Amino acid sequence: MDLGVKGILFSYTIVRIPPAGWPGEVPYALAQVELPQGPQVLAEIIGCEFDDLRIGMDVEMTLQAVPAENGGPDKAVYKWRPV
Amino acid sequence: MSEIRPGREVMVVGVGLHPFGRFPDKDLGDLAIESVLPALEDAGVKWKDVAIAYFGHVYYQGMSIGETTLSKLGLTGVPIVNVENACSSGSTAFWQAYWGITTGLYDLALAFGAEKVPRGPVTVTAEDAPERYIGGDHMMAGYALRGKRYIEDTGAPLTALAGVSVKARQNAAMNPYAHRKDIYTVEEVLNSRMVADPLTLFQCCPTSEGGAAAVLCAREDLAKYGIDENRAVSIAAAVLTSGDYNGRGSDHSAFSPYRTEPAALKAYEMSGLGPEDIDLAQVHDAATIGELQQIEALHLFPFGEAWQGAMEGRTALNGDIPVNTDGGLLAMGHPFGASGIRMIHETVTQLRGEAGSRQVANARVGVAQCSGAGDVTTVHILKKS
Repeated sequence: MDLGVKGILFSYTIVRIPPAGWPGEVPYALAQVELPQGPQVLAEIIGCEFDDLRIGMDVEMTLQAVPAENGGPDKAVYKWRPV
Repeated sequence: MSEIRPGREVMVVGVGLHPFGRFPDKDLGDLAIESVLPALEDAGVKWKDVAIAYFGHVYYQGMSIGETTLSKLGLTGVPIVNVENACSSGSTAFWQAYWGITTGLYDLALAFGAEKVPRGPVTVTAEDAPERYIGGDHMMAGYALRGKRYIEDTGAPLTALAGVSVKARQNAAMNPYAHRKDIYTVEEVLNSRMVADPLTLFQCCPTSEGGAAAVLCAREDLAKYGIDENRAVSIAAAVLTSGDYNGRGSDHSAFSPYRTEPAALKAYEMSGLGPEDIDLAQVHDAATIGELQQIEALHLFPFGEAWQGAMEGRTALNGDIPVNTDGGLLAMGHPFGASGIRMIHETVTQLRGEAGSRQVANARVGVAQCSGAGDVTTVHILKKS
């Protein structure tokens, strides 16, 4: 099934104490996005000020290169961003 | 899906706890044994009477840790099973002990759990797992997502969430086993360090160390072991579930709020009891929002309304449905392998009328609900016999 790359922001949080192994900036915004078919997908949401995040906003998926935890080639990691 | 077919009535006949907190001078086996021995003593049975033992724990402490731990009590040759089911490891061990007895395989079983959880945010996956790069492998961030959405949907104020933590500390202040016994105010909870909004540090359970144990026996075999029937508590339901497609429950991150509901409905069916029969509840309050959503999923409150009940004091010790009467995860702390059996310990203590200053009046039926990563849920209903 093709789930597409767009969804609706179901919930979000600004993570100020990150988990072990988090390779990105702190704080970061974690988004819970509902796809039109129903499934939900967690990822960081980028390209948006924290104060501008709103439950119900339209978002789309994008890919970003992130350094690997134990060296080696970068990982391609999916992120959400506002449409 | 198979039907639930319990056989013989099973009783909890002994419970034991090692205090929860930080114990740098003790190893996992010490914490376990120091809960097992009081449980055996409470039941009035000997280690050699135990026909099978299940040990709940999560962090790797060497192979066959249950066997090496219990070997200190003597080598009796009984089967010993190591159980890992995330935060529900202890309650899963208890669930297995129940089913081992009700089906007639064993007469007397030991379920115990212990843990030494490292400090800091809890992650679910192994190093370099894809989830680590996504940023969602963070239990409290998962609860924060639930809290944010709950507030959006229900209009619950932040003070409602904070109040859950204040109540937990008030109950724990009367519990010598609790990790955190100092009481604080709603303002202090809200002003503590932000972890992932809306959850501040005092709205997240401490990671802890501790041990818990329970001894179970078939009712028809109590006399054989000389067990006091008057202090035995009946197990009316024992249910374990994993995720399904109905509850958005496909993610590891604990963001599926109401996955407890199917397990609760099975438990009510198995026991012939309903939410209206429940006198007290121990639920998985790893974060404040967890308690509110679990008591809704157990149908103790209508969906979206638990925050109001909590603010009205209905979940307090003197309320009509006291919740987490020993302080819950928020104040007891959360040694994963032990927590599920700690809930059984508190329920049994209350139903026996032995909870001292935190005793709930007229407690006859109690429910214990425990969640774990991987969409694990256990629901146990205990009944005064």
